[in-house]
Amino acid sequence: MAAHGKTWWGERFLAALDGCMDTGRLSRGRSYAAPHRRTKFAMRNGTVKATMRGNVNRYFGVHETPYYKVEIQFTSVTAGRWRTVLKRIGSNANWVTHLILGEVPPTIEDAFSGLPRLLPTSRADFVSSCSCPDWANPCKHVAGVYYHLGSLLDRDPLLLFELRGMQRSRLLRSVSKSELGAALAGDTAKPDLWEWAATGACPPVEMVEEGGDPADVRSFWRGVPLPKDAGMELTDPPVSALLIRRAGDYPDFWLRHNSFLAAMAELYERVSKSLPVGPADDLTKGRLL
Amino acid sequence: MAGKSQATAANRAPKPCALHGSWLPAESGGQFVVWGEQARTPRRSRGPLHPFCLAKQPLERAILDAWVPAAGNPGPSTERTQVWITAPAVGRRPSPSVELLADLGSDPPTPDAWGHWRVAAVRVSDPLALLERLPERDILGDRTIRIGHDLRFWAHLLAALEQAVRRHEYLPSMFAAQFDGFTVRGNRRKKPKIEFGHSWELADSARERIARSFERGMPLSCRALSAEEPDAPEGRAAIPAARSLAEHFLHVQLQAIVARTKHTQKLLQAFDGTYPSHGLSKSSSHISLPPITQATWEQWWQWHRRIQRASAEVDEQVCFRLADTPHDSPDDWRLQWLLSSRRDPSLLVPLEQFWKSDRDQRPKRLVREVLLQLGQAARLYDRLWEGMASEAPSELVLRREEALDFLRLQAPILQGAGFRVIVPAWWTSAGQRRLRLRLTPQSSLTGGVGAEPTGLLGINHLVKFKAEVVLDGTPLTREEWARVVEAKQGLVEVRGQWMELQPAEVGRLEEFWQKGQELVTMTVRETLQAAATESGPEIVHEGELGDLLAGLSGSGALEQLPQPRHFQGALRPYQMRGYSWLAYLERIGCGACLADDMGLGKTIQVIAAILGDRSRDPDGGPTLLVAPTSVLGNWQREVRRFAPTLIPYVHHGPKRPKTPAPFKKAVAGADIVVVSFAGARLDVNVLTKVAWRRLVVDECQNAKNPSAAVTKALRRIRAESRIALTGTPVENRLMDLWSLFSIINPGYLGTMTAFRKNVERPIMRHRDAEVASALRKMVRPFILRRMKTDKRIISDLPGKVEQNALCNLTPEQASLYEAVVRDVEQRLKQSKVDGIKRAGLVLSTLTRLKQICNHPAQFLQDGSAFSASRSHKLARVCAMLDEIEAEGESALVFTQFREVGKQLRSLFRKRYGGPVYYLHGGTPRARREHMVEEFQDPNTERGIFVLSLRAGGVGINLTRANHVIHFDRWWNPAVENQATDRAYRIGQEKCVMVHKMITMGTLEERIDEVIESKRELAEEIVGSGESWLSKLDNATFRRLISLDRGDAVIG
Repeated sequence: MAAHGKTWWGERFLAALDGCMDTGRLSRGRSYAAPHRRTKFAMRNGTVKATMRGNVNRYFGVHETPYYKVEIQFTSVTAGRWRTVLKRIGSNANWVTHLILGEVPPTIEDAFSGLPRLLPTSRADFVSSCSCPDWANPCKHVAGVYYHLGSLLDRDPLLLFELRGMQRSRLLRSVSKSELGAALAGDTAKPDLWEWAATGACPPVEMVEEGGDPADVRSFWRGVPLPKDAGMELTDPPVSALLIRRAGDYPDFWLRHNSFLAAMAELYERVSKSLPVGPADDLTKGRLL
Repeated sequence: MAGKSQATAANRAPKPCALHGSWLPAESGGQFVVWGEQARTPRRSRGPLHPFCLAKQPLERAILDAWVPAAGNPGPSTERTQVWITAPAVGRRPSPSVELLADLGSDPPTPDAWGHWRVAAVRVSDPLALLERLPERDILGDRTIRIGHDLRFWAHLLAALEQAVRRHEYLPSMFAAQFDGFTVRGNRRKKPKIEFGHSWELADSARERIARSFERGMPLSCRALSAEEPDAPEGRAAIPAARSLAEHFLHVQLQAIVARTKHTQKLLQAFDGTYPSHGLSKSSSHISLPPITQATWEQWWQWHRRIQRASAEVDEQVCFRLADTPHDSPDDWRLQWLLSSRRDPSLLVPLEQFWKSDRDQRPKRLVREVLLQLGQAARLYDRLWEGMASEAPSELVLRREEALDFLRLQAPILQGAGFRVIVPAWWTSAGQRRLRLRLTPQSSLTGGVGAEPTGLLGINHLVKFKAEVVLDGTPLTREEWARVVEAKQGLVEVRGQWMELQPAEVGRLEEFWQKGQELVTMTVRETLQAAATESGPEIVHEGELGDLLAGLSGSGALEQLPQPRHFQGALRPYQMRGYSWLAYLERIGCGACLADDMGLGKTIQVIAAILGDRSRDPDGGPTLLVAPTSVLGNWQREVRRFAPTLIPYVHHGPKRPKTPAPFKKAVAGADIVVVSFAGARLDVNVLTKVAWRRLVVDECQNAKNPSAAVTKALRRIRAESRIALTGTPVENRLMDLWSLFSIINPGYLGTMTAFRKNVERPIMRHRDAEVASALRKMVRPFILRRMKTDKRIISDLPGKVEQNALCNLTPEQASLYEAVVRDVEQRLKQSKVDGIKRAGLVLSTLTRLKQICNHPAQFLQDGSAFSASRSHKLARVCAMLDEIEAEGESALVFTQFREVGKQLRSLFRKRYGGPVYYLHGGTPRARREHMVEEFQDPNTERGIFVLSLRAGGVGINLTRANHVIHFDRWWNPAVENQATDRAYRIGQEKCVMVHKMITMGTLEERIDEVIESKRELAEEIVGSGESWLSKLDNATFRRLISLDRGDAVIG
């Protein structure tokens, strides 16, 4: 199967569909994930309702653009089991931290003893319906919605919990009872576009009034002598692209399937190679021997 | 007007000019503008045009002239424009820049107001190319072009930025702008449409680091330009704040650096359709650029915050500590997690303890911080996740090979990402344990290449070694070795402690182990080369070889030779050591470089070595000594003074023998043949015909260019031993070092190509510390460098060292001198001259002769060039100042002649980068205080202070200088000493070097002898002036002033 989800969990989510559809429908379904196909899309208590734009097909007597209602419902985890699960999550730093970083913990299923688990694995994990005349279920419209869900999941792992019937707000409230869980709920930073946009393309240049007597001629032209290695860090970082590694691979804005870190590492190398080697290098050396 | 004056100026040589430039910021981007200043009579000031500013055409030409070096490089492309400069004004005119003042030879004026002027300028389309190729030095000569400090500042700032780029310290960024192109100014009520754009941003840590260190050093001139006329009729309009101007420049140039990079199609494809693709080559049309939406912005914002907030905002830092494990449980390595503080690194709390503490004591914020940092670390080192599967994560248990993986690979990565990592002591470079091959010398074989005549073990001898494998200094037992071989690699515990095995190393050692007691044979040279590398064998210092190695490494007791028998004078203890060292290296057949600081007496150490060798082996050949022309006479004189039994011969001047036979005849009786660098180059075919006992190259930095003709010539000269002398540090420029070794130890550092590839490139490009250390170990035995500040030297030195610097007269000086002497003799013969008239004649004669000794131009007073080529004394002083400048030290230069002081000042200003001050009797008090204050201020550049002996002799404190040069002599030592005491007084932290310039064979030398021989009486005899000289009888006076041509003239 061609990779479609960028994250391992997105991929696993989509894989659940593989087993229950023939390849023709599956690939047509993938094309139905395109935004213009969806006219409505809503999610509530683990049920996804969507309206999909079908195709005119005179051979089948469809003369006007048809709209089909699709519904997918995932098997819910019961409230009682959720309590246990959330308690387990709240006492596992690994899981909490993954969720803070916006990832599904690879070992998360350990928190769900028994079925259903968090990630759907087969047809048994969801029921679906569609108003289209296709006899097969899931049909391509269901698949289109499903694929769209998968791409949403890549960005937002907590959506998985919602699909299993655990609302985000309840989840956060519940895990907050534990100390670690509270950390998950505690991200408060929100971007302020207005404040930020005030800066513009370049950092602003602050203008200062430095009144007073005319400067001494020498200091006006020379300034204070700087050490040759001013502002330089003399050790080399051990791996390439170290700075951005801190935030992990596949940042949200990276919609591609190839690794962001690898692409950046190559970019960094190219840019470094374009720099001149010369006096600037000498400067950083100091006394060699 | 301007055009006309241009036309007339074009016929003459172009006047010196100075180039300036600065960054003119704009809201989006900015421009780099360059303008020029020229030393000339000011334009008739019409309106606001800058009176010294270079017109457009000559400005463009000057830029092209300055940036011409690379072949096929068209020079920076420019576009004409004009800008305004706000600068200190003197009498409604802008003060010239310090660079221009250097050429005008005048003091910086005291400005009385701010003013602004329009200047013709060019906009440089590619500031990167301009600043990256900024000429390293001012271009002096027919076409003097000085590079302003403002331009240098921007180039320096750019170098720091490029270093950050090399360290990958930048990331994709975004900016927002209102749709119509204007920046949004926080207007919340009206919702303008926002457009997002891509940019690159520096890591906060890097930006902070660079901006902080450059903020203070930015000259005001960098902030003085504006595109529009400043709106401030009086005083000064607002100017950009240094910090934000620097940050603006960094930001815009970072964009330019990334944008000019050419990317492969593959790379562009890897970014296709993502928002950072906007930041790649603009030219490529093959990739799709998605519109950047607010949603993308929010995603980016969260991502960028995770990276950028890490360092500065948070004090708590997660730290990882790998604890030693007991050797009975080799798979139980605990990687403990701790909480530490950036502000107070001694604060270390294991997380285990942290979780055990009262929950209420743990701030929510801190718990989240710990998890976040652990998570970020786990992204770099995956295994950490395992240790986190707990309510109270505090450690990770590693197996043996995992521990090694952590130490080798993961720890440096975590460290590089800003986490603190503590590793066991045996892993650190200081505590590292290694298996080494130990070579114990068994016997030395004679018959190596070129056996040394002394019968001592030499560098080319073969030595047999017994080989064994040792750890911590003790040979491994058979059982221990078996364990090592079994493990082959990884962490292994030997003798109760852990250590790392490298498979390649074990393999190599296994070879020797198999050989058993078989002996290894190497030359001493190979031994040295092998021992220099990190993984090289340990050589046991035993027997003859041991002595030799110990002698070379300086650790052994170098045999202290007695002062050579006929040596006149006394060597200081460190000079005895230096002389013994030279003699020792010669005996074992090694070349040596004596690189002591100027003033420590390299000359007499070498003379002692030559003399000592001569007395041991009277039949050895002569020494060839190569030195700059200005010190040839000094060598001759010093040899005569300290080693009267040695016969020097100066091979110089147009009458020198230029073919082998006459040359051989001429040098037949000489012990030391002195030749200039130019002479060595020109007469190399003659010089190679003699088998020299030794070659001495004085001031060998003159041969630092490996492919220069003079260096090649020196390499061709055959000599049993080779010595180089230099006062400037040789260690810093690798090719200089190679060149030096190609002269003193040919072949030792390999061929030039191999050296470039194996040594220079790894060190310069990749900063390979191991290669640098190996090189250091290889060259160190052959370089003796002692500084005035070394403790052992300080204890040998008095606080003040006085030395005579002898030099010759040029032929021009000599003929002038002789003419004056003849004239005086005539006049003295006339009986009418007596009494006051005679005293006047005597004193004026003295003055005229002294003037000639200083410089012909001073005597002739004809406005002719005050150039170093017309006076060896001046050439010598310049060479000394070169060294002083290279050492980063300061000097005082005293003269009794005001006109000389003025000339020296303008010459030094032209020649040296730092400030040059001149104080004389006419200097106003306020100005004088200001100069002294500025000179002493540790925040200013080090410089040169020219003083008139009378005015500068008393009262002031100039302890920032530790060199005092007396350009001409005053016959009263008390007055000279008083002058010297400006530097040699309380507050002086270094040894003060006093250099007294004396022209040989002239009255300067003779009067010095008089003073020296009667030093204790001198003060009584000479009183306070020179009047005593007028009391001398005619015969004595004549003897005093007569010229000894043999001594005086060189070339």
